[in-house]
Amino acid sequence: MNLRVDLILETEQRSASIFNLKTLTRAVCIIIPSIVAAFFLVSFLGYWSLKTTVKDMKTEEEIKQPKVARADALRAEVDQNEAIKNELQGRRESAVDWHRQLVELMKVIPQEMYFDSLRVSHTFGSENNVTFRQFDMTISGKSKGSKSEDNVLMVKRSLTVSDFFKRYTNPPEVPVFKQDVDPGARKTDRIFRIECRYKPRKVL
Amino acid sequence: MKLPTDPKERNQILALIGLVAVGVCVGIFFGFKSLNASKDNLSRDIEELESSLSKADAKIKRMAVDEVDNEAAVKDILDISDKYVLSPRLGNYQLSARDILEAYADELGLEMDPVRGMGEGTVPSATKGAFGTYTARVSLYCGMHDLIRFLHRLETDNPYLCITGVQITERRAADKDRPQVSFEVQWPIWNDPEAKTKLEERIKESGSGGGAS
Repeated sequence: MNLRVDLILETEQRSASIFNLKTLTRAVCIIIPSIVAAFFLVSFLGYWSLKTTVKDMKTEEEIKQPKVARADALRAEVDQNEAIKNELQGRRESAVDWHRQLVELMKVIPQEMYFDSLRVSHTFGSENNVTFRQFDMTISGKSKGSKSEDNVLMVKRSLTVSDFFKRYTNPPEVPVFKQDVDPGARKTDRIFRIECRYKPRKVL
Repeated sequence: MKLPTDPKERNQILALIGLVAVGVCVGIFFGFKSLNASKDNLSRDIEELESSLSKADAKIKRMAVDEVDNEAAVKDILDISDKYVLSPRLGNYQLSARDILEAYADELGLEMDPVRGMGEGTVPSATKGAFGTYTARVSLYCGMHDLIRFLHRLETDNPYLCITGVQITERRAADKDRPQVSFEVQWPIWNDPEAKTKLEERIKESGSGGGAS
């Protein structure tokens, strides 16, 4: 028969090991909540700091707002005035220097050709939000002598290939070329009409 | 504190502790999650505010340059307007156009029929421009050389006007060297004459240091 005799009470029992279940439980009960609390505190402080930063930045933004509004208004004014300048520039660049056109035209007209009329017309056009000027020139007249056809063709060619007119005009058309039926006209005299459409010139 | 010795009670307490622990863990998890979400939102707000503030700083910094650019632009516009844009006389453009054209005709020794006003017009465009048009028609009898001189003076003295029509018709009579000539001159005019006044006031403000700073 075995007899067990406890010399110390159960509550007085001690262990030689540092780790026993009770200590471990206590430690876990203290350390883990402490770590969690520390994390939470650090996180909350971070959150608070961010919130303060946002508040400060919003205040700064509010302080700057009137100046920014003035800057925006000024920028809009600059853009508007630049647009006005561009509009004026467009007017300038879209105009055709007709004194030069007439001078150059006189150079390519042979002496055997006479104008009955010269007419220049103008319209504004608009395509794809671009406004342009459209000029048309019509020359009607008579070409005298045996070289009538050659002369008209030469004028047409000059208006097509000359460096000066090439910049301004599309190749001209000759919709009328016929016998001059005037009583005093010779058999070789011709009546002609040359139509010349200018290239569109951007206004806006 | 000791757990009860009764296994049933002990299990109940342990289950309760477990439930509380799970509840606390879930609470902590969601607490952290919510805090992190708030921090993320705040971080995003900060990024946006930083960007907005840096843009605001750039705009404020640019104001000095814009002020100079604006003043230069306004001066250019007013300069062009004073020299080349047709101004009305008591709301009448024809009188101004007539004076200009007659002055040239007198200077060149050309006889001109009375100037005919063709009226005001607009330039078709998607956006309303600042300038419209005023067109006047000139009729005279002169040779091609005189016409070219007339147009040359008009076009070089005012590069902003535009000759929008020319008609040269030969006269059958004895005076063949002086065909009938007519041409149309189109000037830019302010659509809103107040706009020019506003620009003049702007320049005065800038001059007296009243501009935006």
